[in-house]
Amino acid sequence: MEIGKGYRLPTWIALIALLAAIAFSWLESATRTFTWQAEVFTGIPVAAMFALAMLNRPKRSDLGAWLAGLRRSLSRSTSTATKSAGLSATLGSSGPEHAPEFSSGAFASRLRESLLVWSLWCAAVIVLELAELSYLPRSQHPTLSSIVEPLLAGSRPVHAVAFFAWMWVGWLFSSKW
Amino acid sequence: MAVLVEMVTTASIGIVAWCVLGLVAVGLEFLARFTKNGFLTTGQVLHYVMRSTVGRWVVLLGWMWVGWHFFVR
Repeated sequence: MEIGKGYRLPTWIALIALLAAIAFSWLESATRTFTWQAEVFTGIPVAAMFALAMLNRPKRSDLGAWLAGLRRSLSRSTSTATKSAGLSATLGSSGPEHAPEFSSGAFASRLRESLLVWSLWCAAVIVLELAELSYLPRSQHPTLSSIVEPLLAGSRPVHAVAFFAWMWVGWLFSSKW
Repeated sequence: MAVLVEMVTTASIGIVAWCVLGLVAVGLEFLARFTKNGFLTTGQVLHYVMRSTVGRWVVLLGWMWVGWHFFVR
């Protein structure tokens, strides 16, 4: 488990943190939605991950550089030959040490199409969620949370695993900058 | 009877819509991982988006919203 760049938690601390997270998830699974206990138990990891992200954040915003990079990537011309070469160069990579070459021409069309499709998918989810939220009763207009709620409320282990998974994803998002 | 049919239909439309979106996501991920169409996986797209500080904060805020929505209200 890494925090930031080049820093690695000692194994015993990582193990204690893992056990604490499991125990915390189990305790949280006893709470029910719309209660102050749920707010506290969910608020703690939110605050912790936010603090971790603040600690690990770069010193300045790189929005301009990122947008410029995105523009360059999307405007780069592609050819079939370079595309297949780019695929092999990028698909097997993962993690910051082996980051895909996003600026390569071969990657540009894949990135453009994928960003477009996944953005449309996210937009569809948001639109459907907002549309369903604006109508009642909930049984007739299910939202994501109302669909998941019976699963979480019906089984404490499922609830605990879901909460642990959510915390784990938050850890990944906030720790590896 | 007509009211009951209408209620079932309304709920069914919502559930079907969610199922379709879920299947589309699974299908896109399957296409990206197991075919050679050049489509990127969610992980690769997220990896790109999270290369920027702003993108990373947006993703983190999305994570916070999902947790709050599912576990609190």
